[in-house]
Order: sequence, then C-alpha cells, then structure tokens
Amino acid sequence: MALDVQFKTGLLWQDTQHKEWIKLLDKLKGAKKKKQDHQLFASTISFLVMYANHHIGIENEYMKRYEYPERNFHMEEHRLFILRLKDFREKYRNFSDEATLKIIESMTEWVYSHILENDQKLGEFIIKKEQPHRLAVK
Amino acid sequence: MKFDVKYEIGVVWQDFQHKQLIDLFRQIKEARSKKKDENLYRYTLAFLSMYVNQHFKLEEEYMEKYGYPDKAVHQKDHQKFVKELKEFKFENMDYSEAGTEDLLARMEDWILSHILENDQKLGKFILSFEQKESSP
Repeated sequence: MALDVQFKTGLLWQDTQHKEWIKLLDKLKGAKKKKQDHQLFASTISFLVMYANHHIGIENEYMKRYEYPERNFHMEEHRLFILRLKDFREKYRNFSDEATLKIIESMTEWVYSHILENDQKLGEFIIKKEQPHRLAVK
Repeated sequence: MKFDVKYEIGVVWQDFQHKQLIDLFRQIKEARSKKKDENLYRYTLAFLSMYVNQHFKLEEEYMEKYGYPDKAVHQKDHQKFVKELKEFKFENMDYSEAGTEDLLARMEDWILSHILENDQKLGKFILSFEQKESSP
C-alpha cells in the first residue's frame, strides 16, 4: 500500500501508530499470498485489541481535551470498531482462511474510511491547537 | 502512591500512556492486598509487553526526530527495562504470590525512577520543542 505520503499529518504519535497498522496489514497480505498467514493470526488479534485500547484511547483523550467539534461522530466510529472487533473475536476464535480474509478486508476498509479521512482531519486539528504555525509552513 | 498531578506534563499521548501504566499498577496492588491478584497477573504481564513496545517506540521516535540531547541515557533505560521484563517473564510465567510482589516492586521502581524523572524531562523537552517550532 503506497500510503506513505497521503496519510501523514505530521503529528508524530498518530503517524507512528497509523504506520504500524499499515505495516501489519502489508505483512498479513504478504503472508496470505504465501499461505503462511496462520502464523500471524494470534499476533494480529493481539495487535488489534491493543490498538483499540491504546490508539483509540489516545485519540479520544485528545478529542475530549481539545473539544474537537466532530468528536461525537469520530468517537462513535471508534465505538463501532471496538464492537466489530468483539464480534469478530467471538465468531473466529481460531485461525481460518476466511478469518484472515475478513481481517484484511476490514483493516483495508478502515484505512480508507477512517485513517485517511477522519484521522487526518483530527490530526490537523490537534496540530492547529498545539502548534498553530506548523500547518502554515508544512 | 499519589502521582495524579505530578506526572502530567501536558504531552497528552505521553500522559495517557503513563496513566495507563499507573492505573494498572494501582489495580494489581489493590488486588494483591485482597489476595485476588491471580487473574490479573497474566494480564499485567501481557499488558507490559505491549506497553513497552508501543510506548517506548513512540518516545524513541520523538527523541530521534526532535534531537533530544539525553536520548542515549533514556534509550538505555528503556533497553534495560525490556531486558529485565523479558527475564522476569521467563522466570515467572506462572502466577505466584511472590511473583506479583516482585512485579509490583519493579513497577513501582520504574514509575518513581523513570516516569517521574526522565520522562518528565523528556515531556518538557517535547513541549518546548513543539512550541518553539510553532512560533512565527
């Protein structure tokens, strides 16, 4: 996925965490092609759970603190993400081809619908709040 | 332990991550005092592995990008913690009362010696760097 340029807001913590998402997705796709994706199943699930907890937690904290105008919408998307992850874990307790396909599909969808859209807006908003002159010189 | 005010620097992601660790420390400490720490033990170990991965990575990313002068010392601290955690996990995979006690002591030491010391310096540096960068 050649998202390197597009998804960078310049907000280091957010970019770093998004990069990890993309990296894992690429790795998983590569492994799937070689039919080695079963090795990655457990660690991918742990990553997603961690991400839900951690990354989403940080974004929510910023939105609350800086009173982000679109926070209701954005936090609702986060809530649905967590809910979908929970359903997924109940349905697919163990590795299967279908499970990996489903993860790849959902993770890719999340990149386009959330990371490249709402998260970019949020990132720019945070920079504007914290470092108002930085966007101008970007 | 009362760190509520003391550990917050104003770097929101960093404060958030520190709070997560401190909250977990309190939780398992409380559970230990009620002798209900067995269930939390494995979770705490799993959390710590994830935490060091994520949190240290972010701090190191900032140190690198912003040219933090104390980077080498700070990074060494991280490496030491990762190494000790790995050894601890290896030796204490299964729950024991002594294991929780040991883990609590290590977490407390980390909070006092690292989070309340070096991380405060780093947080202040990040804030001043970003504010300087944004001045017209």
